[in-house]
Amino acid sequence: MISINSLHKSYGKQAVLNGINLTFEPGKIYGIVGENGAGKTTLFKCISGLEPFQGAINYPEVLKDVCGFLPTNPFFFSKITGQEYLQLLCNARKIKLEAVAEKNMFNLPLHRYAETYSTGMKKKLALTGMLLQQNQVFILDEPFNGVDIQSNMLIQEIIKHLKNQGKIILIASHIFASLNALCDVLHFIQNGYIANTATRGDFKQIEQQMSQNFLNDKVEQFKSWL
Amino acid sequence: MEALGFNVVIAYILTALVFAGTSQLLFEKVKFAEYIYAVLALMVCYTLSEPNRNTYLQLLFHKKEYQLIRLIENGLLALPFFVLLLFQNQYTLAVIVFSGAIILSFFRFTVINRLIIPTPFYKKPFEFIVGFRKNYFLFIGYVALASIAIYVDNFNLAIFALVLSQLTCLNFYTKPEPLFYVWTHAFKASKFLNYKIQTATLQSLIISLPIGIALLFFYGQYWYIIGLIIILSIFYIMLMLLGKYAYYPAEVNLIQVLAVAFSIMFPPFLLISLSYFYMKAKQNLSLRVL
Repeated sequence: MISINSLHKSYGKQAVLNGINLTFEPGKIYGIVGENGAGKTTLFKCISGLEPFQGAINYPEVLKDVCGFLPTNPFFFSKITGQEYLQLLCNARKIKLEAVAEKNMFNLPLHRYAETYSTGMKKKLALTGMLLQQNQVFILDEPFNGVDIQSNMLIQEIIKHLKNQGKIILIASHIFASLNALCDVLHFIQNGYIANTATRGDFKQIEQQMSQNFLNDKVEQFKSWL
Repeated sequence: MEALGFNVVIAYILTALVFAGTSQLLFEKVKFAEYIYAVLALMVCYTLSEPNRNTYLQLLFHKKEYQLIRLIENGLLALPFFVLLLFQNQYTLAVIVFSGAIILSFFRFTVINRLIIPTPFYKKPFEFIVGFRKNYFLFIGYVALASIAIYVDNFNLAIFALVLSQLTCLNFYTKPEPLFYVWTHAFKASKFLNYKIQTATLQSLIISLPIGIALLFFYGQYWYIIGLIIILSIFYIMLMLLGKYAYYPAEVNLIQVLAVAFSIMFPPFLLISLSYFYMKAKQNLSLRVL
């Protein structure tokens, strides 16, 4: 189980996360929703150990060593093929990369340079790498963006399978339907706080809260001048 | 230079002086320097034909403006080489370099850039494989240069080709990679550094093999010079690598540049600089990410 206590993160004087307390249990899928800039990505970076923070994040093992992080826009070295990227990620965990073709679920052109891939293909390559690393914790920042419908369905099935294997899965997404289909718990993050938490069946209240907080005012605003 | 804290004007003057000085040294010390010089000039211009930056320029500017920019870029880059070749009375080469640069401004090398260059480094892909693929044409040039040197029986020129090859490898370690690529390693800092040092040593040794073996075959009596250059260059590559992680994720800084420069001038200093940067890199990586 990951337990987060009193997590604070600031960039200079600007506070991004203001005392987050959360727990994530194995075999569950957690959704994080919020506006752009609400602190979702920063929260993910703090949990994975990519950003320093104040507070405590506890996990029985060294979390970063068993954690996979899918960024919104994965970065790939230029002049590295898809297969070499997977090799790099496996080397990083001392895992022997075998039967690549069999594990290439998205039928990616692994012999091509990863930088020449489309947005969706890059995301699928990064996800394949995370899976090959045999992580225990999966942090997925916008995993469905830019990915074709068939692959999105496959990604959803993979996530469900990982859940059944007892992995911890955190997803940030703006696609409510996908979160609805997958998540056990949904956290609504606003101004660096967890503004609301809902379990499966009660997600509607978060959707309503988000639209009340944001949509109504903005509709009036654009109607006044557009 | 600006990133190192130099005033821009001073940086330009220094760059010009270093360029003129190095060129003069090359012409004085190396046979057929004018050909190396001409190829080098065209290679520098070639780097500006990279498709991503050209697509970006085309998005920003109209077709005529874009072409004008590319002409000015290549013209300005080729100008110092052109002037110095004229200064060396190499009029034909000067004209070839300048016209070549102008012609190159009309091309984008998409096909070449997408060409998968096979390498022996695919099992340990990181900055070395990237650097090799970006500079493979330079390595072909160095092997050609060494072959010419052996053909005309010029040991100094052949050694120069070997040094150039190792200096190019040194350059692979100047740019820090995104944090993700260090973070994803389930290693402690010291283990990560040892792994990187082992890989860099092995890969730079492999790259030095074609020229190194040829030199040993034809100039076996100078085995100690050839060996010393290869060993020293591997130490400098290690220094660059450790320097990168000592200040990671910041870019290369003045202390690192000075340490490398001083270690090149006074190799025994390597003992101190390598230990210092190893400790600093270990501490920095432990604190930041590993």
